[in-house]
Amino acid sequence: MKNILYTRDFKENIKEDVNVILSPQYYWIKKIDIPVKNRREAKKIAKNIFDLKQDEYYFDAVKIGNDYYAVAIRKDLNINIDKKYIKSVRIAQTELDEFECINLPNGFSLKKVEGMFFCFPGHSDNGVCLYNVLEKISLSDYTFNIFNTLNIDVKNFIKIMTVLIFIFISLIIRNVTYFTENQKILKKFEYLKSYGLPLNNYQLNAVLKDYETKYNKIINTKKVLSYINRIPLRPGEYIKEFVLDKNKITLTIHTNKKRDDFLSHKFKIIKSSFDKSHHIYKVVLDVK
Amino acid sequence: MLNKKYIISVFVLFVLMDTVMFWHYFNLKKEIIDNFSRYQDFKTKIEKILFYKNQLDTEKFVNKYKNLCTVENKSYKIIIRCEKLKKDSFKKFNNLLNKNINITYLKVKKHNNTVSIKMEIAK
Repeated sequence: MKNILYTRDFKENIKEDVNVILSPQYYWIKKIDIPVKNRREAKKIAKNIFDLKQDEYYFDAVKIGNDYYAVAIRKDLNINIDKKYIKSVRIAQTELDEFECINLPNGFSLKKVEGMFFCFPGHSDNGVCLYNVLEKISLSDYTFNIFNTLNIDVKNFIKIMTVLIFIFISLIIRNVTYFTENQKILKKFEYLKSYGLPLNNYQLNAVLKDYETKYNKIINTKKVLSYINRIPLRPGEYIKEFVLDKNKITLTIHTNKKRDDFLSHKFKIIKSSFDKSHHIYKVVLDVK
Repeated sequence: MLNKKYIISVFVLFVLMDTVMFWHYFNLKKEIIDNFSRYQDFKTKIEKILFYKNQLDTEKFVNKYKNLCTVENKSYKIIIRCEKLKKDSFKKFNNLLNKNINITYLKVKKHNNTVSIKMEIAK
């Protein structure tokens, strides 16, 4: 992958992946003089070491040799290269540290003053050519993630995440409770199975309807028989024959009198006859 | 300053997890309501069926007259001949019919001092 040193006069049209090394014109750097244990600690200190607006700069720290350096880069850094081609952003201080003086193509040169690079006009006789430098340097581990950051407060982020985690946990608890409840209901279905009845609506409705029809029919038959039983009979009169077939009753009574009036209150008389000589009254009733 | 990819990934992951959990919760809740109403519905129907079943005296009645009974596919046929019964025979027989049995055919015939009863009871 190609390495480029990005200076204010950079005009190359980049159409391939590149590692961008920022010239000192684009960042602030200061040596941290107080003892620092690690880079994380140095990074915290870096925020306070510069007199810069904290919301406008990206702060970091690098270790060069045995010393830690605080670095500040503008968040709104405008690099005239399509972002998709920028694979990493680095600083000249970490990548070009092994050189003392580098001559740039725009007539400037990078020179070290007290261990830190600065940009000066004009070329230096003992300076090395930038192209030779970029070809042979081995890149450090220090990259600055300035294009892949969100300006969100960590505390706020933790608050949001806490709310999300709380919702997640409460939903898990709810789900476990509901799952248990559901299992209890399903067990009740097992109990219903013990009645030996089909457990689906269609079949159950059919069975119920069958029983209801049967029961209503029984009640109806009992009412019919009860009414027939109440036919007023004098001594010597009796029911000779009674036939109940589906919705039809054929009744034969040994009597001297017709019983049409009594029977027509409750049933529809289909046919009735009275044989005076044999004292036989015969009637066919519709009992629907 | 936090890493954009990391923040977005973690946030999206948790939102996704919450969404999945909520979806699961919603479905489970719906399932419980469905199952419970289905259970209540079945229970009510089964109780009604058992009520009707207990009301029917068909088996008791048939057992009482098992010697006179012919069992057919869908019904029982019973023929009773009562020689001692007299003019109130029909009333006595009617008391017998106080039982809850589904009579599909009934013929009571009195001849002199004999009463013959032919009946068909649905199973």
